[in-house]
Amino acid sequence: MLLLAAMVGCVQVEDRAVTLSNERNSIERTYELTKYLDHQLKEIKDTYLLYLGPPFSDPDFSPPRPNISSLAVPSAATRVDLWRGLENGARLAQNQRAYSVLLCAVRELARSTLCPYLQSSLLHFCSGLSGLLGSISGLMNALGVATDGHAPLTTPALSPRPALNDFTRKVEGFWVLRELQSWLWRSAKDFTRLKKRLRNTVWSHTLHLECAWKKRTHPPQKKRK
Amino acid sequence: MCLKTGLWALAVAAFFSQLCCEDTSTHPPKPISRGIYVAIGSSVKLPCGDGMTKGTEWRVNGSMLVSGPVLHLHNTSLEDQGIYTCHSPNGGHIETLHLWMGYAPSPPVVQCWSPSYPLKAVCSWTQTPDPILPTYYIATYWYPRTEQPLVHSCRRESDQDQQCILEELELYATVPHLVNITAVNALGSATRILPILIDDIMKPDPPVNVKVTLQPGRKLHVQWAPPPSWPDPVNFTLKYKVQFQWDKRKTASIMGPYESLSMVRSGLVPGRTYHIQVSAMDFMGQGQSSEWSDPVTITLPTS
Repeated sequence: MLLLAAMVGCVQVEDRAVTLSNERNSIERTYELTKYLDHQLKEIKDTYLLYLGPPFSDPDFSPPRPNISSLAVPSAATRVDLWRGLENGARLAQNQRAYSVLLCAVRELARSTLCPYLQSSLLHFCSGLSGLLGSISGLMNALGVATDGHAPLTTPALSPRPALNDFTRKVEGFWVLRELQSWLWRSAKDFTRLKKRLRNTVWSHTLHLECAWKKRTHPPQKKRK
Repeated sequence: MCLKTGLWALAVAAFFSQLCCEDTSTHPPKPISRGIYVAIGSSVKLPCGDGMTKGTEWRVNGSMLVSGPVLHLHNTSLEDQGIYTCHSPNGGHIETLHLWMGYAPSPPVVQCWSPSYPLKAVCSWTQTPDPILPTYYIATYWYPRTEQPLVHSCRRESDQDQQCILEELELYATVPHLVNITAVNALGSATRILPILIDDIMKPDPPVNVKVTLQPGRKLHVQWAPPPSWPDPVNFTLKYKVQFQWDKRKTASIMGPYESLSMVRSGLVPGRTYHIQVSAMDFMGQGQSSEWSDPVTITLPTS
């Protein structure tokens, strides 16, 4: 009876370790997707800036960030102490909120781009972003974190654009890509941190399993007086 | 009573006559001494006293330079620096002038990088041309938040240092930090404001403790450690490249990147001498690679 109870206990702890291990694999895939998107963005950004033309295509050009509701992307900016202290769920939630807005913004960018090659690249990039968003939501579900649900697919983050030669619209497009870059850099570090935290959690669960098993199969001997 | 008052009055008169009616021929006034700073290439007029007394002359290092109350120096150069003295017609010393030559500061050329991401960044600057005159620097930086932006002092050992450390950093920012370096000397001041994105300027120091060991089968095992100045290689992973050079370092091959801290290279040539170096970079490829580590040399045995 005791042996059976010990085995059930072991299986429960082992289940938890396997679940955490699966989550680590999911985080690893999400991390790899982030790196892939970062690599893709480097190429798209150079082409897009050439498409916008001067001064956007000038190397050191940086227009002021417009303070408009149409560019309401949560900022990736953070201090290192705040970033380190983020709890797993909050970390994932911040990423989910940001990519929900960014996905809409990049879709709008693709829709209004007149160059077919660039439009195709941007739409392909949107597929990747959508996959990333799905991955993040999946992780949040697995960790039992409340999600915001999928972002509305039809509401654009940018207001309707009459013509691409409008300087303000170009500045918006510039800033969408810049925010995307910052978030991909931040996400790669976020998922690295999540991986390591979950690895430590799996490790401590594995140790707990071994310790529990040892205690049940080899209980400590009572000392004779 | 009258005699006493009279004597007292005489003493007071004598005292005041000493003060206001001194005979200058026996007690000449003390020479004026001053220093002035002049920009190289400019022209300057230096009057002696009121600049109108005739017969005065200017000397430099004791030798007569020009006769007249005003010294004109045209298109000055560094050689004009020195001690000039002005003398009266009878040789009396009227004035000593220390002339310092130099340049007004130009906007400093500033470079920033982060060898200790995410905790610190370093900015260093140079001046071209060198001002020559003693120059001090004011170094500050701020991050333009929507709420009140704080201006931080960029930490240095002394006001003359041309390098400072930034410590309150905003990561993953789309809006850059603004670094303000102002150079000040006696001839003026100049400012440079440099925008920097901290994530863009990562540059680790070279990896350390590079060890190369020979393994059976003509293989080399290379291992290294992350630079100690990189504060958190666990969360902010580095990737590494390994460079093999031979033939007096004319031929090279670069392997990697590796996220691990060692690698094995096989298929090496017996009897050849290899020089091995390692460099580090942020794992996402942000910023710049480090410089190469100091080379480790190993020669494969011929048999």
